[in-house]
Amino acid sequence: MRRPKSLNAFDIIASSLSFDLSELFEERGERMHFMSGALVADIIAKLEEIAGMVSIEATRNGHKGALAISSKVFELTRELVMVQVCKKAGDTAEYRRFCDNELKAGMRGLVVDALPPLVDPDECIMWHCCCLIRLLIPCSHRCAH
Amino acid sequence: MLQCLEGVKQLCGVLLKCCDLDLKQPKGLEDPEILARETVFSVSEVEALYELFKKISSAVIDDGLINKEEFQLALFKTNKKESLFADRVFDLFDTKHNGILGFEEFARALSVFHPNAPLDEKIDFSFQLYDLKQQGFIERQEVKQMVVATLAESGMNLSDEVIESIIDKTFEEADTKHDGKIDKEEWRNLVLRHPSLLKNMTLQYLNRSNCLKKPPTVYKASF
Repeated sequence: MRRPKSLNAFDIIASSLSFDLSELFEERGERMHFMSGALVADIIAKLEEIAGMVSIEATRNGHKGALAISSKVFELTRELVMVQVCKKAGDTAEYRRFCDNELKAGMRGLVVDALPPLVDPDECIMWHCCCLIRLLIPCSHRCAH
Repeated sequence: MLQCLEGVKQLCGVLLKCCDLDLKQPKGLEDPEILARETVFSVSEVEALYELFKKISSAVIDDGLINKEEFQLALFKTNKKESLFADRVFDLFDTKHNGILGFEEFARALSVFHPNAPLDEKIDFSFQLYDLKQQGFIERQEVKQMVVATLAESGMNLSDEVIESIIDKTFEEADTKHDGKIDKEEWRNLVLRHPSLLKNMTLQYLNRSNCLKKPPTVYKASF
């Protein structure tokens, strides 16, 4: 766990994908965000649980796919965190399928749409923690031999 | 009528051919050494960058120049997406203000993003980037606009209250002269205190000798 630092509007702006010129050179960075009022520990536990369910090792045509996803949790207010999930390695279609199916379904209970009132603006801290979820997903879909 | 058009077409074809011969066409890579001398790029980096430039600039119109649509295509892999930021970046790259990027403009602008580029250049560029109205200072309204745009990209909605409080904190720290805006000096001080604010001003990829080399499909996750 890194030490907390105060939240800055320019941190948010700098994280914008449109400002990320690395897109000119590399494969599109796959990233998604959502917000949650749950405890960080609960969110991480849930993410690990989802990853655990998907960790099916299977081989087809002798190939194994490896999808690596990283997740960061940023605290916006005492009640609200922003979760960023991005693909670190692996097939993009695979990643998107994972997000649309397992991830969103699993996180549904923890994601907020309605925002709680801000209690104490002075207590806004940014807290940054990372976890890596390594998933092994059968590469059946993409190995079109 | 049709014959007339055909005639005109043929005439145009001939004229264009003549022009092609005369025009020093798309100011290609005449001398990478010059750019290498005047930027932080090495000669091989300039050459590799030129390969990328050719690819991007031929996406819509093969004229050796990058127009805004091609720039958007390269950035978002679709020309359907408009973005406040992409517009701003393009405008800053377009030092000749003619709506297109030649290779020189492209290379000179990108050299600011090189890991070895001087910090001051990155600070200057980012300041100009965020100074949406180009007034020489970053206003609160501009910051709000950018924060909202960034959040909208990820489909996130923060309440106005939360956004205002985030900006309050930012200005509290950044606006040391308490005049409601962030000038270049205040920006510089803020960034020196929070170097992570410049993270999008460095493209590690530029350091490789061959920009076009496809990155390996599986790479070490780093934090």
